[in-house]
Formats: sequence, structure tokens, C-alpha cells
Amino acid sequence: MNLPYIYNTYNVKKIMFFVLIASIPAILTECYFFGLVILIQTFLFVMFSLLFEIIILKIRKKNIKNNLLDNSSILTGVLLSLSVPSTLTWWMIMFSSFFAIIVAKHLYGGLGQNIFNPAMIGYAALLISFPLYMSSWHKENTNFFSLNDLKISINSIFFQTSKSDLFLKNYPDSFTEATPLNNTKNKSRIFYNIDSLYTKLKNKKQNNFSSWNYINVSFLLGGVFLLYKKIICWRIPFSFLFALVIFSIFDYFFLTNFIFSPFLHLFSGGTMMCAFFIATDPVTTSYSNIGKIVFGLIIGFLVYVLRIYSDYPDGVAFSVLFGNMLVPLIDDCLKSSGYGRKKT
Amino acid sequence: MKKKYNFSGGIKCLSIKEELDKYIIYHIPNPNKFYMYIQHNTFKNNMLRVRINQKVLCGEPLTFGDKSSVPIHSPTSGWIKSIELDSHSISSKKKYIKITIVSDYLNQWIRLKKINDYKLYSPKSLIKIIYQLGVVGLGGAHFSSSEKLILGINSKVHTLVVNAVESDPYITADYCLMTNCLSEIFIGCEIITWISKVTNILIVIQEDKIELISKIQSLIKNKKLFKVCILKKKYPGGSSKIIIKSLTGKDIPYGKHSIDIGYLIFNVSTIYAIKKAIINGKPLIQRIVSLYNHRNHSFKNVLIKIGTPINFLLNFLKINNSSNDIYIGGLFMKYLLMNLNQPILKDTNCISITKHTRNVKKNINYECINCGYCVQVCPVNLLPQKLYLYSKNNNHEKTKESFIMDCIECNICEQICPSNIPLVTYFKHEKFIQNQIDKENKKKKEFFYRFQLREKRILNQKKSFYQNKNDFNNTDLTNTNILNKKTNKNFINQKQIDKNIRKEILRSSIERAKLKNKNL
Ligand code: SF4
Ligand code: SF4
Repeated sequence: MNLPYIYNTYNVKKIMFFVLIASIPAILTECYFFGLVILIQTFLFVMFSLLFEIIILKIRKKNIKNNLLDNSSILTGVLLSLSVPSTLTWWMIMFSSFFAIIVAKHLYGGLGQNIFNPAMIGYAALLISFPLYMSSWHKENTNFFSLNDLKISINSIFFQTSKSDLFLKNYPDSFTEATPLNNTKNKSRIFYNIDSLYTKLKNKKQNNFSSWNYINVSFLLGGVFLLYKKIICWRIPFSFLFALVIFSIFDYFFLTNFIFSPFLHLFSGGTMMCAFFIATDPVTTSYSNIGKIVFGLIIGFLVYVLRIYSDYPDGVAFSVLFGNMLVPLIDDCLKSSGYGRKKT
Repeated sequence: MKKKYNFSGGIKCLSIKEELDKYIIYHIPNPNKFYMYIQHNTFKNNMLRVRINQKVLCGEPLTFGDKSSVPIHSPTSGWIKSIELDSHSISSKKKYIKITIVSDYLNQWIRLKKINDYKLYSPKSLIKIIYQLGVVGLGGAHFSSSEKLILGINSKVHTLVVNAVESDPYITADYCLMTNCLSEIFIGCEIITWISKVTNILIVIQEDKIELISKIQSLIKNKKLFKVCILKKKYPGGSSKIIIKSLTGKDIPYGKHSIDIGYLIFNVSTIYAIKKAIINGKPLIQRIVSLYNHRNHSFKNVLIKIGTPINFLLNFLKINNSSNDIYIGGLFMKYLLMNLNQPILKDTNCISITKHTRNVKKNINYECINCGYCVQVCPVNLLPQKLYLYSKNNNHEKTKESFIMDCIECNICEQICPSNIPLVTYFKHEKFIQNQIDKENKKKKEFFYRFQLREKRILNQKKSFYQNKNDFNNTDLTNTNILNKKTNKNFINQKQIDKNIRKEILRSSIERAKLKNKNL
């Protein structure tokens, strides 16, 4: 990656800022499908993240202004809000940002020293503690950006009143992100024919069925922007998607009936978000070129395995965390040799 | 389109607008005082050829020179005003001999020995002339050219690489020299060919010098020896290691020079100096320095005498030095000049001027975020971020294992780092420590060796002593006749043994002295 500049046109602040910009299309698309609740949720996540950051910086006696201005905690908040479903209440948001900022980031030594991806730790904490909330999704949003919408979302976040309205427990034809994955998986366990499910879904709710596709595409757009700006390296996303597609193609050809298609793998759940926003987090990935490719391949494989065989709907968070665990090992094994010496 | 040579790592730079009429060499008049810095060797007392208040002529050698340093010549005619020990601001730890010469503005030269047909001379004698006229590598390495040529003769080089790549992106001194004195450079190349018997000459030049390339190509059309290699415009291209790597794709093995794999690298200005030395008989007393102004991206190339104080140069060009920061070196490798009376040295190739900023722009240093930008730009395949971590935590063994000594201090990683970490400062410090550790280890080894020698010696002495005693005891004391005989014999033996011991002591001390010499 040869940057065509003389001076460091990127600093940490700018890198984080560009990632924030790149996540705007995804936020807007989610807003379109789920309503204003997403915006409020994002705002709350960012606020709580900043709050915890300030508290922990005070405790650690660091320069608050410099460390707060590097945008990294804001980014953590935004990524968290993009990866969780939109039915959380405020105390869950606080819980998750607590884990993300304090436990995952600052207990390991602050920015640059954390082993695990903060956003994914926050997500995993929620997923382990409240699995039901995390796998239930919003009902179809009919009244975009209206006052009613605002009311419902505020109610759902702060007071949890309209629970019956919003929660779709075990609703079979639920339509967004992780749930279709979950649903098809459950069906496939009992040798349910997926093809018929697809056709059923497609016929019934054309628009809703493809909503997660749109969200993934918007993440892809942001990722392309980042690639163009050369903020992230192409190696991780491509090796990750490559591994995912290869493994799913293998399975798809042998067990057509009850395994998802590669397309479903690529454009469902958090695949694109993981590829361009989560897995490319520089701090927790390998720094060498080959190491990056190996890391991407490992995550791709893990995502595939977790999606097919585990009981969680989407394996992205856990596979990224497992990948992070392996990074020191990768770095240690793939040492590049110095100049003019034999490779060791 | 011809093939462009490239290397991994490095960064492209924004190009400056090039106006051809600016590639004119400005001549600078003589200043009042010249300062010459001379590396001195503590083991040699009489290096200097001149005394205080002596009159010198232009081109008169000031020192004898020895194995490690070439003679240095007076840039002007005048008087020696003072000779003292001083350190210059780039390497403040070392002491140099500083000679101040007051110019008399007459510029009287000593008699020059011109050689018209160099082919009448043997390579050895030509190398001697080059040595005596004080030619060193002008690209920045400051390595004696004569020594390089001797090494080249000894180890069979096959290619001469003419390095016309600027060591920093905005230096134009080499380019300026090439546009103005191309034919003389070719003569210089031929001289080197005669000396070291190379079979082909590669002129390495960066791709943006299009006019020059076509000019060279038209000139070398009917010369078989020459070839032009076009390098991609990237920083750092000028280092010899990197040139070899981009031309051949091979690394120079660790601890060896490019000469060992058959490539002789000379900077353009060095070749020019060699030509001047042999054909015109002129010693190396002047060089081209480019002056780069950051404020309006303008540059100038001046032909300047070595030893001219930078202050004088700036005054002559009417550059205000109170509102500017003056650096020696280009954009990437630069030192802030503290003392403006610092003269131009033989390896100064650029002076850059930036606006003086009193309150330095706030560059917040973050922690390393492991982004790997620095790994991707490093031209010699190092892992700067690992090195940084190890050197920060004083893990000297690991830093050595990660090959910190290979770092060429090109400063790219520092420029590209998004966290504004002063990486190269850490590396320099760490290198210093590594050198210290190396020295210590060497010393320990030496002491151990000496200790062993001493033990051996003492043991030998003891042995011989006890042997004598035993002999003495064995003798029959009762029989006088026998005693006489035996004592006589013993006496001779004793003498012999004493002699042996003395010899042994002498030998070991000679050996020690040799060892000492070798290590120094
Ligand atoms: S300064 Fe050293 S470590 Fe940094 S890029 Fe240059 S050679 Fe590599
Ligand atoms: S460029 Fe700077 S922040 Fe990035 S890995 Fe290297 S040292 Fe760390």
C-alpha cells in the first residue's frame, strides 16, 4: 500500500473518522427498514461509550482531551449499535458499552493494546446474557420517520412498554438479519426443505425478505469507500469472503437441500459488516501481509462452521473473537526476515 | 516503453513543478573564513601538514591522511588562523580537528598535475592519485573512493552502477550536475572502467527526468558499454542496497558490500570528482549543494567550496535566518542546524529551509495501533512496529533478533505512522545501545582470551620451576664428582629454561599488542 503522500496524511483520528463516514450508508439503510429507533439507539451507544471512556480515563489519570478526541470510542459505539438488533432497552446498551469500553479496551491497556475487538466483546456479552433479545427483531416498519414511529421507539428503548408490539418471539417468517439464518437453520435440522421456505418467503414478503441484502450492500459500499481511501487493506475482507464462499459452495453442491446457498452466506447476517468494519480493525489483527490473509481465512472458516453447526444464529462475533485470540500466534509464526538474510 | 525497475516498499512523493532554467549552477564567491573539519586518529600524532599562521595555497593538502581518511585540501589561498579540537553539530559526540583558514581572495592555485592520457598509467597509480586528491563518496556515505576501487580490483567487479538517483525526493543536485556536465561524467565512467575493468555500465536514473534520459540515450547509442536503467520515482531510491535490489532483485548478503557480488556503485558527483581529479588534477574542494525552500517549493543549486559556513551562503542568497529553520538534508533525512557557522562538509548534499514555527503544531502521540502501514513501506523488509515495541521495552535481544542493525534510517515509517510515533529516534537510540553491547562483548572476549594466556604462562613457569627443583633433588649430593658434573649440566639447563621463559613472555606480549591493534 504505497500512499502517494509525503507526510502522514492519516493520523489515528482521521482513520477513525473515515470509518465513521463509511458506516453512514448502513445506518441510513437500517433507519429505512427499522425506523428512527436505530438513530436513537446509535446516539445512546455513542453517549454511553464516551461516558465510560471519560470515567476510565479519569481513573487511569490520562489526558482526557487527547484520548477522547481520537474518535475510537465513538466508532466502537456506532459499530455496536449496527451489530445489535433494534429492540434493546437503555440498560442493555449501557451494559454492552461497559463491556466494550472498560473491559475489552481499557483493562487491557487502552487503544492499541487490546487483544479483542471491543465492539465484538460488547456484542458477545449481550449475546451470552440475553440471547432471547438478541435473536428477536423488529417488526416491519410501515410508517417511516413519523411521530408515531418516534413514540414507539422511545417507548421501546426507555420504558419497554410496547413489548407485545415489538417483540416477535419465534415468529416463523420474521424477516431481518440474523433471524432468517436462525430460522432456516432450525428448519434444516429437521430436514425441512429449504427451497420451499425460500419460495414461501419470496412470495409473501418480497420487500422484507431482501432487506438484509440491502443492509449488507450498504456495508459493502462503505467498505469500498474505505478500500478506495486505502484505510483498510484488501487482504482481510477478500480472504475472509473467499474462505466463506469456498466452504459454502462445497457444501451447497453436496447437500443442496438443507444448507444455505453461498449467496445467502454472503449477503445475510453480519457478513459484510464483519468483512469491512470488524475484521479489519487494525489493533486486533495481524500486521504482516501474509498474516492478514491467514487471519481472514481463519475467520471465514469459523463463520461458516458456526453458522452451520452452532446454536447461535450468526457466528460473526465469536469467530472474530476466536480469530483475535489466534493473532499473536500468527504473528509469531510468520516473521519476515530482515534484509539479505536467509529466511528463518 | 522501457522496463522500469522497482522495489517493494517506499513511498511515492508529490512531484514539484520542474522549470528547466532553474537547473543552473550558481557560483558562490569566497567567504572570509573557511572551517575545515578533519577526522583525527588518536594513534597518529603528526597528521597535520600545516602550522598556525602558515600561508596556504588553493588546493594544498592540509593533512597526510591515513588508511581510514583521505587527505583534505585547502579550498582557498590564505592563512591558517587556528587549529583546535571541536565537534560539529551533526555528530556532537565525536571530536574533530577544526582548522580555520582566512582567505586572501586571490585564489592562487598550487601547481596542478594534469593527465591527458590516463591510459598510460596503471590502475594502481591512478587510484593513488584519486586517494591523494581526496575524493570520497559524495552521495552521503562519505566512503573513500580509492578504497572502494581497490576493493573492486581485488574482488572482480563486472558492473559499474552510476547512481543518478537523488537520495531525497526534492534534491536536484545530481540532476543539475548531469544536465550541465554530462560529457565529463562519461569520461569519468571511462576512467573507472579502465581502473577496474568492468564489462558494462548501468546509469540508474528516475523516471521523471525524461529529457535527460533521452539525451543520455542519444549519446550512448554507439557505446556498447553503457546502458540506461530507469527507476520508478519513489523514495528511498538512492541507497546502494536498494538500487541493487531493484536492479537485480537480489539482496546484498548481510555484512557484505555490493562489491562482493560484483557491483561497483558510484554517485554521479563522485564520478565527476574522479574525472576532475585525474584529468584536471584538481583536488576535491567544491561540490554542488541544492538549496530547497519549503515555503515556496523552490530550489537552487549552488557550486560551493567545502568549508564555506552555511551562514555566509544564506546571507549571500539573502535568506533571512531568523524566521527560518535551517536543516541539513532533504525532506526525510534531516538534521536541524543549531550552529549556523557550521561549514559545508563533503557529504552535505542539501540544505532545506522551512518556516520557523515557534509553537510547534500539536502532534498528539497516540499508542501504536498496529495498523501495519510502516511494515508495508519499509524498503528493507523490517517490522518497524515490532522493533518499536521491543526497543521501548528495552528488550535488546529481541531487537537484535529482529535485525535492527539493517535499518537504513530512511524515516519513511515515521512519516507514514498515523500515531505520530517518533520511530527512528527510538531506533537510533536502540542502535547505539546495541553497539555498546557489542563492544562490551568484544571486550569480555578479549579479556577472557588474555586471561587464558596468562594462566598458561604462569602454569608453564611453574612447571619449569618444579622440573628444575626435581632435577636438583634427584642429584646425588654425596658424590662430589658427580655433583660437579650434574650442577654444571643443571646450570646450562637452567639457562636454557630461563631463556625459553623470556622468549615466551616476549612472544605473548607481541601477540597481545597485535590483538590490541586489530581491535582498534
Ligand atoms: S527507518 Fe528503518 S525501519 Fe523505518 S522504514 Fe526505514 S529502514 Fe525501515
Ligand atoms: S505505522 Fe505507527 S501505528 Fe501503525 S503499526 Fe507502525 S508504529 Fe504502529
